[in-house]
Amino acid sequence: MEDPRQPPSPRADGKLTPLLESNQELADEMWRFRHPEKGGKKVTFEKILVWLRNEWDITISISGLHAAYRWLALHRRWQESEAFAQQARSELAKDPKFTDEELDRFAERVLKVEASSRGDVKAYVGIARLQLDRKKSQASGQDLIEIGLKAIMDEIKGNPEAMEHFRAMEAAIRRAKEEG
Amino acid sequence: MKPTVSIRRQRKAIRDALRIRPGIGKTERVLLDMVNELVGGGISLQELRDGLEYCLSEKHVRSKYNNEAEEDEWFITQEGLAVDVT
Repeated sequence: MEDPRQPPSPRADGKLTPLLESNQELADEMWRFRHPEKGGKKVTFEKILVWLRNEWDITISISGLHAAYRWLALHRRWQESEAFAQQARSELAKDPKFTDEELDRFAERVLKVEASSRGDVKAYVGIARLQLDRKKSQASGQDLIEIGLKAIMDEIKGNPEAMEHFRAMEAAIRRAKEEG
Repeated sequence: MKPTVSIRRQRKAIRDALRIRPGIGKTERVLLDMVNELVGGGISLQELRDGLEYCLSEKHVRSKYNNEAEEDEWFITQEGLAVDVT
């Protein structure tokens, strides 16, 4: 049987983090203890230790509790960054040109940039690269259209009726491109 | 030289950092920032690499090359997730 006079084992300390991850209610409540609303009073670590033991049957050391709060702060930053990234994704999704895959890649990059404390340089580069890739693929798409049109024109040269249809189609394509 | 943060804590911090949004891979740079935030600083890049190597040998983490980022990204495995639960 565990001796209550002995400090909790490091292993016991470590068990709080997975619990905080899987139990949002516990995580929120613990967060509120140390980050009360305006005018509220912070709950001391000692009281939180007692509360954890009585309410959740969790016995940890004070350093374990400190570590859990560090993890909680980091976790919350990632959660907030994810919400921000999803918001950015929704904004970008208003432009129908972007595919779901592109939107997902964009959101992941935004999340990494936002969540990293010093900013993930590679993630910034990744966002820029996504944009460049898109421009490049649009450019190559345009090139292909030009090549295709020229090939059709060469094929129907000398056929006035076909040329008339071709001119109408070509005008429609150009109009669509101009309208974006 | 004796590490500032015990090896046990380093490994735990690696698992804890990767536990956050486990589906999103973390590069060494991001992971180093995260683990240092968790332990209050003091973990060097070499110590992180040593920790990752150990975790990899225990199958607690895995890495995958990200073509866009052009570097490896780290993920926690199911075995890694279970370490602190059991």
